[in-house]
Amino acid sequence: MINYRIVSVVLGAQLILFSCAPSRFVNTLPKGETQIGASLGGAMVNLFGLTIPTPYSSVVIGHGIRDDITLYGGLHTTALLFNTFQTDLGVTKRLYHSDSSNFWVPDLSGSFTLNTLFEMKDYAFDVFPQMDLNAVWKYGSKRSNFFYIGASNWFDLSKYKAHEELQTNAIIFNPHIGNTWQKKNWSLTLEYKVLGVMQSNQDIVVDYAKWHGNHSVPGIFVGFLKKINK
Amino acid sequence: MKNSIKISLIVILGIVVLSCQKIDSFMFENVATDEYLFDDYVGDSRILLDSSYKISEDDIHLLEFQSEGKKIYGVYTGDITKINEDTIIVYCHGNTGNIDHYWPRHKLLANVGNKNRYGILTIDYKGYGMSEGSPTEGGLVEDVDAGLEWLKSEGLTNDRLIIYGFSLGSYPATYLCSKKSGALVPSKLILEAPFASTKVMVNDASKLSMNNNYFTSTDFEVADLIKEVTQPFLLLHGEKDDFLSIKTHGEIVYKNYGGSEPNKEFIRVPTADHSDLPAEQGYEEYKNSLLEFVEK
Repeated sequence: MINYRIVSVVLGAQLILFSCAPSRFVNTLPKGETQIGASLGGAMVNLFGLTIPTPYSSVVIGHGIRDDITLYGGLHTTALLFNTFQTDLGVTKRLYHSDSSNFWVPDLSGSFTLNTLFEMKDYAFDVFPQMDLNAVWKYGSKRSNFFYIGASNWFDLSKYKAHEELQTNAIIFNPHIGNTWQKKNWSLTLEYKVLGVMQSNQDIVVDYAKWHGNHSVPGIFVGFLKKINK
Repeated sequence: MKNSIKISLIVILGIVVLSCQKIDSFMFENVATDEYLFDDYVGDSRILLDSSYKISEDDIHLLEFQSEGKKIYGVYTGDITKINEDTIIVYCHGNTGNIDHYWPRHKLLANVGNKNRYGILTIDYKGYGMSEGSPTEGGLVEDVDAGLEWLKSEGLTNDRLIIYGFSLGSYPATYLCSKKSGALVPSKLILEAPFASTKVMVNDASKLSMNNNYFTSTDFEVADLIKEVTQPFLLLHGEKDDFLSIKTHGEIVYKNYGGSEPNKEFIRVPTADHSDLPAEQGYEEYKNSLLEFVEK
């Protein structure tokens, strides 16, 4: 009877706050290299009979301070439309560098990110730490393309949620799989995430796609990066 | 690189300067109309009533009120000359459509006990139906209060006023019971599928304990307001409500009720979702539940 879909889609933005970008720099940049880029995508929602990714966007910049360490910062441009200054600032460390002759042994990388939100009118502020772990398989003639599997974990440090109810989602585990196609000065990434594997997707205001049963939400993301030096 | 950064900064600055968007307006799915159709309305309704529920045209009164400088409309069913002695139920409707959309629900209430046993007033908030203006969180309360002022002028007293809030309508209903700031103070509160608050909606959707202010400036803090409500309280909620979960909305509101234990009652309807509780409970049982509560 009641068409709540518009409300649902827009409120869907709330979930996208922890999933509005593909994994950042799973493969570290060479020392001194800087890349900028943008990403688009989000959780899949049902709308008017279609299942579509919520079109959340962000811009990002990353810089290799060593061959095995990349610093990055992202600004969430869709959130800006809502007067919310949302950033993700983090670092990726390559944990293991595989022998380049053996495709089957991947590189390993780990990331730590601080996701912050600041609402510029009511001065609301939240911070959510995030830790990612990825296995990266390089392939192609120059081994410039790569395929990765990993997971991002969001941590909610609050003991309580609304109305002093206990926050039971201390960790939100989101496994993902992705691929990056690298050209000389740019790259394109496509990533599929399973958001909130341990969280129920039932009886909530947003009509998320339920591809994996009654827990989790699928998400699809596209990212574009361009070298701006080196 | 300098050009890229310069352009990026300009774009970002532009977005910040131009942006002050919130989704508040999306909280209200109001439908304007030039004329109310009542029984002739053909809409997407899940409350289908047979002709035995029909209200005589003589007992249907379209009313105009003033609220915050805007003309708003309401419909009263019953004998206006008996407001000074009747018990009246004020129905605060949900966020969708207008009075026509909720007309079957209004008729159900008008048939509690027997036909027109209780006077029923439903008000279209600003921006809904024929009402002027645009809906706001605070405006909902002002609009319902405009109806209370009229009822008071017709002789209604606090002890004969019962207020019923469905979904978004739970906010003005609870507010007026809690703050006692209206022209009349309701003596009993009925909520069906209530909001706990916007923050609960956000927490449910994000799974994180984040603030609700990022996308909306509305709060609809029913779960806080209810702490100050001591009037007898009846809550009805469908266990299959996939919009406002009974667990995170209904149960929190019920738990936070400020009155004594014997004064509250929770009717859980196992098969009902957000919009079909009276039908799933069964119209007779629904009416009997309300009658028992009103007469208690």
